[in-house]
Amino acid sequence: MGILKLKGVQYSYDNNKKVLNSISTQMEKGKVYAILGPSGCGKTTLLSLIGGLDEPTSGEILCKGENISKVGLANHRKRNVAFIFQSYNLIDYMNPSENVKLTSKLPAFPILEKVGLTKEEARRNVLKLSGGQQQRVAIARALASDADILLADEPTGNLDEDTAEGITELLLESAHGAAQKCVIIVTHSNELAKKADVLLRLKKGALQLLQ
Amino acid sequence: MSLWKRAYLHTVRKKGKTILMFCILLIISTLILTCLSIQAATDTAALNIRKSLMGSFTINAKHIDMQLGDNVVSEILNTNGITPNYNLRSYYHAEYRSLDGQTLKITTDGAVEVPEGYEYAGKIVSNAHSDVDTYFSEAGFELIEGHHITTDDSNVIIISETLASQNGLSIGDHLVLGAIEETDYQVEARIVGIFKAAIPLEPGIAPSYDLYENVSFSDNKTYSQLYYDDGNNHYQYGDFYAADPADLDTIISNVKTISGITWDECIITKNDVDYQNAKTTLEALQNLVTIIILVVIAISVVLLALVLSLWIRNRIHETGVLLAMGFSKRNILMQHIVEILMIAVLTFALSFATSSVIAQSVGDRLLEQATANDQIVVTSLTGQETEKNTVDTSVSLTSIEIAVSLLDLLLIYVIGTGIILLSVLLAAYPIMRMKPKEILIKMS
Repeated sequence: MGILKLKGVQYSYDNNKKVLNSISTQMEKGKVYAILGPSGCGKTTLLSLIGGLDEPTSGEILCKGENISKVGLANHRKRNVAFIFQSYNLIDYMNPSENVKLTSKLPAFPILEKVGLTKEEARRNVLKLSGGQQQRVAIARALASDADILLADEPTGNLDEDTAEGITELLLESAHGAAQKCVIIVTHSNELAKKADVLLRLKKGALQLLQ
Repeated sequence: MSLWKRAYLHTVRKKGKTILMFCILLIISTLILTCLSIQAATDTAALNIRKSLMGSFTINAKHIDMQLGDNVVSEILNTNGITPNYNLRSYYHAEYRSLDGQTLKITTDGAVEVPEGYEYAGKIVSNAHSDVDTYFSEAGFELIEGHHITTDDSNVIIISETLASQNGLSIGDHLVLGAIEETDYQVEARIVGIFKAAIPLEPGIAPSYDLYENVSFSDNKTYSQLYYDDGNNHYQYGDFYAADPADLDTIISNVKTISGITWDECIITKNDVDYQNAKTTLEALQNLVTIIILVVIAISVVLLALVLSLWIRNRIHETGVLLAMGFSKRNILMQHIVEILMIAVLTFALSFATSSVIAQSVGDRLLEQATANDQIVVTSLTGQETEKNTVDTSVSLTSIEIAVSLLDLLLIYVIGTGIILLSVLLAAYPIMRMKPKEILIKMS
């Protein structure tokens, strides 16, 4: 089911350097999309546009059939998308439970337990958790929200191989499990990319379907 | 999660920052509350001083033929803002004689001259109320026997102790006052009081009739009978008192509209030096306190804005994450404001205690500063002389009672909240004007 539609999306910086050139594509719930490409090709920019952190220079992005510019970018971010960052970006004065509660009114522990945290870890200072545990909290925070789209920017970039594998499983689960989220991952990791349902490459501002 | 919960968690978990902000806000609020209470105390002192000093004005009608009459005086006393207290006086010279027409002895030792025709004469001050005459109130004359002259008296006189002893006169005796040059004009007066001059007049500066020993005080009727034959009362000078010295100019303007006297030929002198002196001190203190309040507020805003801009810059990750989650910039800004306000609520309340401790001593220091160069100019009520004295502390503001009130505390909550809002807005502006993506780029 198409939840996200990009129509002729272009993006240029102030110096008119074109980063994205007329990108049109459609993304569905229940699938994992991996976007590959060399550094500086515009992957994060594309993710920012989809996530409503910035507006395209031209073209439009539709989420559930509505133009996100018209809905309001802050509203779009609140209702439709959840971000997972490479550097976790947890709020450091909140424990894992409180970080999860930022996006949800539901009890936090069941979600944290699902991503592998114990009760004691759920109450610990987030800075005293390992990188893998912090990323699990970040994923739990994203999963706890009602958003149908998960946007992950290099989610395993700072993690060792074993931990990265666990995180990848969680992302796949959020798309293929009951939640049926649309997961869009920007990554350099071939391991992660191989497990995606759809593989896209961003090259010279254009989005190519690889798989 | 609501911004209140987020603000609460930040305040509770970031203890170092909270304690530092607590100290900054406590210092700021104590300083401002102290200044506010000093300002309130000076306002109260100003009001009390105005009420107690009662500025006055003097109408000099000496050079007008009929001078001041009873009708005009009555209308002046009915003017708004004038108190019932007043004095009407005249200055004249008269020859002292006994009832059998013999001239009385006067003092001539120490006189610079004994003018021709004044060999037995002295200066007579006629008064509606002799007790408020400047000879008694300022020059050190002291009534040692009898009573002062009031409006109930007629054809009475208060003479000096020396004049009485030289001529064997005492209370209840009568003497005759004769007009100089007009030998037929004379009035009999009964002695009702005897005075002495506590501070003697310096020898060789005054003619014989002005020597303190030869000065006497009569009622106004005596003066009018001696110099006018129309049966009316005439007064050279009128002293009238305003309930509030601040209204003196308005009262004088209103008085000048009264008909029956040629105001252009009158000289009206304001006698509000006491009030002006106290006012100068108060204004200096009020200005000083106002300047200090403004400086403290400005420094507080700058200091808070600097500290907060550092903290908010360090929280750019958090700002980016919250924006990515769909929290609005306004919501994030409000969180910063609420965090500071949560601490401020406590510090402002505590500042009530701290400023209560220091307000009095700070106020005394400021008062010292404000009164350091005070000078009083005393104008004699005779309207004839003006002399400059150094500070007379009895009419100057020498102390103020400072107490921190609940109203001041309420005001510190208002001013403090204003300072916090302005500081947070200034500090957060550079971050808040950025697009979410720019913030996230800065994060990484």
